[in-house]
Order: sequence, then structure tokens, then C-alpha cells
Amino acid sequence: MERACYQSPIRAMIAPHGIHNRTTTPRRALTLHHHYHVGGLTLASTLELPNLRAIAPPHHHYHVGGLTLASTLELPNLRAIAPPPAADITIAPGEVPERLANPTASGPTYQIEGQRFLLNVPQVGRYLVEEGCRITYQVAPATPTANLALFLLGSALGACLMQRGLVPLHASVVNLHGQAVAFTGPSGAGKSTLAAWLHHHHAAPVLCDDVAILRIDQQGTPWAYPGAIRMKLWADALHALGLDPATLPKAHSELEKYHAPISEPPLEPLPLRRIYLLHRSDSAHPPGIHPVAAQQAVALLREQSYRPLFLSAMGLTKAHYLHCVALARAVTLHRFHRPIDHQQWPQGLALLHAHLEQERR
Amino acid sequence: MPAIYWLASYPKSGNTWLRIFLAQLISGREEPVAINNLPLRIGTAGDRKVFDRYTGISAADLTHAQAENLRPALYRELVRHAEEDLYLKIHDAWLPTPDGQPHTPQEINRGVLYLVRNPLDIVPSFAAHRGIALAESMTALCSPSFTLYGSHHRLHLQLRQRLCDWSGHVSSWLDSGLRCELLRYEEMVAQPLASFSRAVASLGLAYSSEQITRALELCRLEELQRQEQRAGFGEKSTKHERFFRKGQPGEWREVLTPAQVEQILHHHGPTMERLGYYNPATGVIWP
Repeated sequence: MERACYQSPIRAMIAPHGIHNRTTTPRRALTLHHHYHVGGLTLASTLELPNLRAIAPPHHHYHVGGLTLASTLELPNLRAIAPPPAADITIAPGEVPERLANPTASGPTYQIEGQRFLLNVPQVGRYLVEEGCRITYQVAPATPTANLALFLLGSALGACLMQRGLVPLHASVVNLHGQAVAFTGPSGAGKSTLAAWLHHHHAAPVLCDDVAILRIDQQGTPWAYPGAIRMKLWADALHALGLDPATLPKAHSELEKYHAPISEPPLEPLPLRRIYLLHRSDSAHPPGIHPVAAQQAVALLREQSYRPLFLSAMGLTKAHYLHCVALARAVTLHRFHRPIDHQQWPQGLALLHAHLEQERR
Repeated sequence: MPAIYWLASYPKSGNTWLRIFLAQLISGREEPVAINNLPLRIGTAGDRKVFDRYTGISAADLTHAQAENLRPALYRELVRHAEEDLYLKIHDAWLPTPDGQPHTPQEINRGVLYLVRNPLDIVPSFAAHRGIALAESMTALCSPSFTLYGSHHRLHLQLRQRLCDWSGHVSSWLDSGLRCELLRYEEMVAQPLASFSRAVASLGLAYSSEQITRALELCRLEELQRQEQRAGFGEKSTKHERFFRKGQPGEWREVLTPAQVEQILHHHGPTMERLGYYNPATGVIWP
């Protein structure tokens, strides 16, 4: 039950975001909008977001004579405006309050009040997410753009999707033999590294990393939509994959995390039939793949939501439950215990391939 | 309103044994609890999954200092969601966060159970756990800047924990102004009923001697070793064969050289004396 979002063109012209913030943001940045595609939605952002798939070159937008102009050339003589609402979600800098007036829910870094979500990451910046269609950010001084983008495309985008009635899965999704296979699990479980390995060594395209947007159609088929075109990987993982971090842009100014490009997936979604819950194998749980009992499937899937604590404050508990019921009906769910030690990755992957082969027959 | 009891210690000082015992006691069950499945109520302060779930962002996108700055707010959030008191294992030294907050917020501290063990016995235990040489283990215990899980180029399942050196760790907690109940590992081994009973009382729990005795029975070392042999133990590092080793106090006498003993006494003599492990007048070391 995804909600469409109405954004008045008049409102966009009269109160463009960030246009009054002249002292901190160069004028050029306020009018130049990059356009991206993620999860079946279009994003217009004044911040460049190389992790996302760009569609169309960046355009400046102006208003003249009652008409809106989109121009790849900067035209400072004209009155700059925010882009007309061709984009589902608009991202721009602006004034963001430190807190909301009457939050109905809050946590250490966030507050929720109706259709407003405020994310406050100390020493990084603040993000205000509204109505599922607008993200405004205000950075702390000297915050590197890469660091700002991490939270923008993480919790802020996650909240925005939830405001639209979508609940992302905390998963990385790859295309294996024309079907989407999702790997889910908490941070450190190895979702991104597994997806990257399958991409680099088995030519499996990656649909999305970390934030997976699914939509279930009228026939009950879940579709996984393409998301980012770069993956965030740690230096150790990159070395183990045979990639050189020194050739890659940094994902964070201080951490040894890098953006690794993945081949651009087609815009079309893929049917999702298989979800693997990743666990690190240890002496208690040796490497192996085990089916999840039907009666546990829904509860486990609910736990795999991206940022589960945002859901009830956004009134999504019931919708999410129904979504997980439908998902459990449509996919097979397995636990995948795999060794985290790089030397033993091939062993884990052999298990996965054998399992996929066996399931295909 | 629930609060947090901290089960604080330098590593390899009996914390895991205490947690398993607590889980056993609170479960009230007749069979041994699954050592790989302790309830969240008896959790770990540095658990990354818990941080990510309750703060609303990924610790993986933060520097270690930024993540540490959010830990007091995280603990407050855990208490907000709790229905009863929580018992959290914590290896961090009690230090102000980089931005100057007390690591554990005043209003949510119910109490501290601080476990200690003679550092001479910690050295070989720590070495075995990490798969490192004794000399490297000695360096860790004597290094004021020693941290766990502090890598910048890979992700650990736990957040970075600043330990200080062994003496610094001890004084950070005992001199913090927090109400600390001291529990010596050696007494847990030698007089389990008395010491575990005292621990239980200090954690605000009311259980009979019979219940405590039964729980101790179900998680005595032989039982823990049996479970580990059968099904493994998730907290064991990949670097050694078993987590639950002999654990006999005084093992240091067979393992450390006189020079190594001297080095530890040199660094940690005053704190060892404070805790009753060393008498400089007579030179006697216990155990």
C-alpha cells in the first residue's frame, strides 16, 4: 500500500529549499539537480550521490514568464527554483530544526512526529524527512560529503520510503539465474561482502545493497527493485575480493571503507523467490544451510526490516505484518551459516551454489 | 522504572561464567540453559546489533569515537524499552566518552558487580583466548591504550572498547563513585555458594540457597565443557580449541617465568595489593 505523494508545483516555486541559505551554500549547488533512480522511484538531489544510478544529466531549473525551464547550462540571470515535481523525492540543503515540537516517538538519533522524521547524527548533520517526498539536510561545519551521504542514503532514505508506505528489507540482493536472491542479516553478518563476491567472481549482478525495496504485486509475487550502483565495502573485504582499495573513492573520511562500483542493473525489478538469513558460523553453528520452519517465517521476516523501531511510530506495524505474511508465502527462507574468515569463503559459497542447484531441480 | 546492573570486568575474569549462571538462575529450569542462547536481558554492552537496532543508525557509518559518544544515549534507550532491570556485561574501562559524558548515565545505574582476577592468571588465559604469545598478552595488560575491536579496516561484531591497562581498568570502576560490589574469580572457584550468593544479593535478586546451589550445579565447569564439546560456544574466538579451559587459580605459577612475574608486579603491584593479591612486605602472592 504505497502512497503516491502530491507535491504542489506552486509550493515548489515559492519556497524552494535552501534558496535563502546563501551564506553557507554556493548558489550553483542550489539550482543544479542531479536525477537518480532507486527502488522504482526517482530522486532529485542538489547533493551529488554517486552511489545511485543517474538518469538524465543534471539540470538547473528556473522560472521565467510563468514557465519553468530545465537547463543543463547554468543561467544565473534567471530566477532559480527547485525542480518541478517530476521527481518522487527531492533532496536539498536547508534549515533543519534540532528537534521536533511534539514527537510521538524518539530514539538516540531520531524523532518522529506524524509524517515528519528528524535524524540528528552528532558531528555529522541533521536530516528532515517529510511526507515521503522531501529530504532536507543541514550539515555540521566541515562535514565531508561522503559522510553526509552515508546517513542520507541510510536511515533518512529508509524513513522516507516508510513514509511512502514501503518497508525496506535490511538486505543485499543479487540476480542469480534471472531471479532475485536476498541476503539479510544485521551489520557484520556479511551481506555486502557475499553480494560483492557473487558479483566479482560469479558475474551475478547486484540489484541493491543494504536497503532492499520490495513490492508485492496483485498476484502475490514479490519484486525486488534496483537500488544503488556502488557498494560500501571495508578494506579487508576488498583485499579478500582481489580489489585494491587505493583505486576506489572513500565511503567515509576516516574509516577504511570504500565505494566499489557494480555493473548497473537494468531498471526493471526481478521476482524475489529466495531469502537467506546470514549468520557467521562458529563452533556452535558450523557452516550449513537450513530451512526455516513455516511457523517461524513471518516473525523472522519482520525482524529483517530495515530500522524496525521506526515502524510503529509511523503507523506501519499492521501493514508490515501483512507484507511479511505475503512475503513468507511467496519466498523460501533459509538460514545460511557461513565462515567469516576470508580463507574459508569458497567453502561457504560452495554450500550456497549446491543449495541453489538442488532447489532448481 | 527499570535500570541497569553492570557486570563489569577486564576480560578473562569470570564474566561469562557469571552471565551463564545468572541466566540459569533466572530461568528456573531444571536443565542447563543453552550457553549459546542467553536472554537479551543478560546482554553485552558493546553488541553492535543492539546499537544499530536501538539508535536508529549504523555504528558502521561512524568513527569509534562517535559511536562511543552515543553509548550513554543507547543505554538510556535500552532502559526505556525494558520491563525489568537489565544485566549488561561490560569490558570497557569506566571512562568519559570522547565528548565528555560519563560512559554510564547516572540515572540508569542500579549498581555494579565488578569481577577481578589475579592478572598473573589473566595473562595466560588472555593469550590462549586470542591465540597470541604470552609476551603479547603481557603487553596488552600493561598498555594504557589497549582496546578491543578497534580495527579501522574491518567490521567486528562488537563496538570498540577501551580497556586501559589492567590497573587502570580496576581503578576506573572502583574509583568511579559508583556503588561497586567486588567479586574475586578465585573466590567464585573456591567458595562458589558464598560468593555467588553475595553476587545475587548485590544484583537485587532474591533466590534461596537451594536455587543458587542448583543453578551452580547446572553450570559447573564440567557441564559447560560438555556443552561446548557437543555444540560449540559462540563466544569462543577462532583462535583456540576451547573457551572453557581448566581455569584453575594459580595456573600462572606453572606458566610464567620469574621475569614475567616481575614485570606484572612492577606494573600492577599497587592494584594487586589493593585487591589482596599481593603483599609487598612479605612478597607473598595469592593464589
